[in-house]
Amino acid sequence: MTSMLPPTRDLPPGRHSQIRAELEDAVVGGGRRSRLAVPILAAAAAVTTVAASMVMLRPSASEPSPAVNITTSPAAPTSTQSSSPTPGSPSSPPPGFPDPTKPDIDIKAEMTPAIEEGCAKVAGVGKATLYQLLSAETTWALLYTDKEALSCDVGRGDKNYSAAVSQTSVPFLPGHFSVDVRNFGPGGDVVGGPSWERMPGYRTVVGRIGPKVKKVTYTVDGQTVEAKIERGTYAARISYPSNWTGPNQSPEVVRAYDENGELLGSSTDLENTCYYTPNDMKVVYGTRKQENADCKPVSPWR
Amino acid sequence: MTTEDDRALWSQAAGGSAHAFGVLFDRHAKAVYNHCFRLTASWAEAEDHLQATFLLAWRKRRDVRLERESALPWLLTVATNVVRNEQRSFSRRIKNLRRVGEERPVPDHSDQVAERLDDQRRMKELLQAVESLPRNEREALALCVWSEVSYADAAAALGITEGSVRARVSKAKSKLQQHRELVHTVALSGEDR
Repeated sequence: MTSMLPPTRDLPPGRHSQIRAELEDAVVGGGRRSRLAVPILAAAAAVTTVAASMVMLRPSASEPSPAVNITTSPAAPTSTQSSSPTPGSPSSPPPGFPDPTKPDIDIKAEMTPAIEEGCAKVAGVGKATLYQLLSAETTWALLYTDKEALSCDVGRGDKNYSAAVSQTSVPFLPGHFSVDVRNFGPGGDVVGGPSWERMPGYRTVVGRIGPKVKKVTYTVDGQTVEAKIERGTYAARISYPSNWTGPNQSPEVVRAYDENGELLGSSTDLENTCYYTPNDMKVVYGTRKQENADCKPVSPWR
Repeated sequence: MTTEDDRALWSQAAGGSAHAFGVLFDRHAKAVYNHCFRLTASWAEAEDHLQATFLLAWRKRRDVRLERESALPWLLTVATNVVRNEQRSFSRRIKNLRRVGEERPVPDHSDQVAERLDDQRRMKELLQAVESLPRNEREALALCVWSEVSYADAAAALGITEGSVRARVSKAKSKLQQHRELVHTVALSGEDR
């Protein structure tokens, strides 16, 4: 027997970038699935012993249905920014979708099924319902399944859809509001490629609100924007220059206010509190390591 | 972004950033790939396990908080579990059958191919020699000795004490004394850290 351990080797030529691209397709989608995606997803789903809290993969999107109608009135701008980002020139949206470079956007009801299906498919989740469709420099959507929140870009760069997904206890709220997805997209010049040229980067936060919440703000990197509130949800996005690589460790805070402008709570409060469902005492928000006695009961959402 | 430590990138990935996750992949793909090879003695399977490992890591990104600067020890632990579960599964056979008609295009570099085939033969012999070890000792050996993860990092990734990791590796080495070649391998491949 040869005694030496074989030497470390690089991946075969081209395989590193190929696997990376296939992973990107699998995690954010791109209108296509790699030939390896399905077996690899299945393999991943089979790994049940890694951790008890593992997020399991569900089958791909079911048939979409128009669960909510988007009115034909233009979507309000996502936010009113206190400082001006450097806007880019996004590429053309997919056929049939609004051109985000135009100030007046005609959001047609017939878009809803396509967005619900496209976003759910790239996220690898089941049936998703569209709650908000927004337009900053690019079009993006907020959707929910029965246990996941999706912040979904529509026609950004060369991707028809790409989505950030978070599991959350959708029927319940931790107090007055929840923070369901925080994500970012680097600027198009960082991503590279003609479809991404001068595309602005962004940071996004989305979540759900209770009946007392009338205003939500999002503060990060010295900017504060007001979120768009609709159908018991909120969504806010801050744009960055096209050469923005991504966030540093700057803190970001979401604040919720009532109709009198009184602060109801902030994301900082949520990070330090846990919430349980009263019927089974299961902690569904916050750290699960805390004793239930130190947690608060959840509130129903909608 | 490339100057950030893994915790910052992991935090961004947990926020949904595929870009940050891609940077983590670039950093650690080679180490995970080689670790998977040492567990399977197959470069082709190591590629598949590499992909499955990172996909699973993406799925778990919200459940895991990196306590240490590098994500590698945890990724290697995930890879170990991926390989273990895949080896148990009948899907492995199905995938092997599928692979028969699905050759990946490989550049015709005869020397590289020959070297990789030789790697696989040697690694298979080594794995046969350590097969008698209990699984936890075998995996500790692969993690700490072959992949050179420190005992402290391995302990954090495995969720056990550093002393337990040391004990597993020590037992493995002790039991392998009868295999001169492997003792030699261990001595050449890793030092106590």
